[in-house]
Amino acid sequence: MDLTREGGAPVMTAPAAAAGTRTSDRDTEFEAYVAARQTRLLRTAYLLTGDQHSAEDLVQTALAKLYLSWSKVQRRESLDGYVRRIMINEHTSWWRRAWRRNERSVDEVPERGTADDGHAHTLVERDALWALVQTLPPRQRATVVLRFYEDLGEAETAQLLGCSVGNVKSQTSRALATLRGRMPLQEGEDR
Amino acid sequence: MSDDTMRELTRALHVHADDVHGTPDLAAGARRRARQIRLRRRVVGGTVAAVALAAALPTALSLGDSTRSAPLPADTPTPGETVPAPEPGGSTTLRLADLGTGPAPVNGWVDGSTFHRADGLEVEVPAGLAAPIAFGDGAAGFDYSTGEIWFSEGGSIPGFGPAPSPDGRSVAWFYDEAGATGIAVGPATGDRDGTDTVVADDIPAGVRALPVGFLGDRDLVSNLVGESMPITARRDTFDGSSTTPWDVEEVSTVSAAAQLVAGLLSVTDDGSCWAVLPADGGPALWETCDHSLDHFSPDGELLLAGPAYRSGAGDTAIAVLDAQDGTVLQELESTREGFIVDTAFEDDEHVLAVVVDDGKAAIVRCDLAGSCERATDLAPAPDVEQPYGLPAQP
Repeated sequence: MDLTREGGAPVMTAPAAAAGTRTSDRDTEFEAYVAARQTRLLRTAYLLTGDQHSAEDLVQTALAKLYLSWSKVQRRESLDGYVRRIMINEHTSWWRRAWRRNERSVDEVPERGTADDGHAHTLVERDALWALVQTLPPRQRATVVLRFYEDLGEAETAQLLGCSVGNVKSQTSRALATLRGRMPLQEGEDR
Repeated sequence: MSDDTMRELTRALHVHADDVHGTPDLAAGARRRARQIRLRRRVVGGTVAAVALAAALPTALSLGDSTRSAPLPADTPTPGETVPAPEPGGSTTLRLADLGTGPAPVNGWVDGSTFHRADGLEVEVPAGLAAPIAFGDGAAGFDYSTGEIWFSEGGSIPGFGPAPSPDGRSVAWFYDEAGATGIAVGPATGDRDGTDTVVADDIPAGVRALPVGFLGDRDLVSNLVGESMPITARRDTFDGSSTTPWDVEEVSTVSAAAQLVAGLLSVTDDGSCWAVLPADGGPALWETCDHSLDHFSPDGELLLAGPAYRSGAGDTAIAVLDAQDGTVLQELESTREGFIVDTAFEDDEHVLAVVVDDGKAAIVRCDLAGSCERATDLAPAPDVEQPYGLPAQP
């Protein structure tokens, strides 16, 4: 198809060249960002999803959306925050879909190992805690991941979750209460 | 749980997350997925997009000021006045905080899970329902979460659509159920009592025929789409015959009034090229690689256009073009931090745009001289999420 305008000048020449340069720059910058941050993002995604495959899927989706909006997001102060936010929203959407719900049951408390000594007890308790975190509803789980893994403050967590600080406090409180209620009591320990 | 155990929680998260390491080709995979997202949005957006209601009444408006560049509109229109003819080259920045408020969109709008119909009825719709239409006393639309056409009255059809006719009385859809595929047309009254007509049942296996719009009462344009790529557009005249009159990958919008179609010639990672063509085929009236062509005005004299390259979250600028020659009559730009999510003609003289700006969203109405106002309240729009949508238009 002949894409020429009056005078015969090819329509695509100048814009295409400029666009090609922009795309090349964008790809280079994007790849550098992914290389630098992918492990961190995958770890957060893993804590949100509970398995490596879903984590990679979640990060890839978030990065795809980041790539599509690269020129806009570059002007934002925090690319990490933007990607985290997409991951959380995306994961919540996944959770809402029936087929995802069918894949995961959040009602059953996972089986736990037994503690024979102090060190083993610590390991078992961490495994148990991790297993229990996976039973939390997605919003509470995201709050726990952002507060206790990402070490974000309440205000920053609220900003990422798109809610109030009060909501973050209540979600955190509910999550901890759920975990407390499901953790086995050790000898001499009170709830 | 004690404070010690809260520290154990932190350690537990770190211990388990530390087992996770980066994977090769994550960036390349993300770019591939981004391309798929772009393609899906383009294909679906172009399919559900059509011209504005032919019978829509001129809107009585009192449009507020917005940031403009030359040429300035002659006068701010007042209710009942005809908007002055646009002069080429005007530009307006859509800064939501600066806009006054006007009446709600005449042809309806979506706010969250509520579809406000043009006749005032409100219908609850699923989140993510694409471009709903009034259907009987309820609504219908394509539900991305199920891949089916959703009806508020109950039931669904695996396929795609619906696309309304210019008079709003008929809808067309693609069905893909029980091993049968085809294009069907039925009344938009909500009657599902065997009055549906199969327009085409010769769709090849693995191909979907996505209705775009009507060129006449019994004259439908649909895009043929393969696994994920557009193939071409076909025209069905309800007598069992179909043609492919245009050398395009897909048609984005049609005008029954002007007997024109706008079609995609080519798409690359950096942009796309488009053309306006006669409905009966033949040479293009004009071509452009500067814009994507989205919607004809009801009278077919104007075209709403977006950028040739579209970046996921939304457009940073849209334009009103002369449909006959592609002259840019008016440009509407987002703010530096904002973007434009969706657009439509409200009537021959007004454009609607879903605009996100500074963490808020609204549907904005602009006349052809670049005077704009908000047609809805400001709604929170964290990140790229926002509640507003525009209905599919015939």
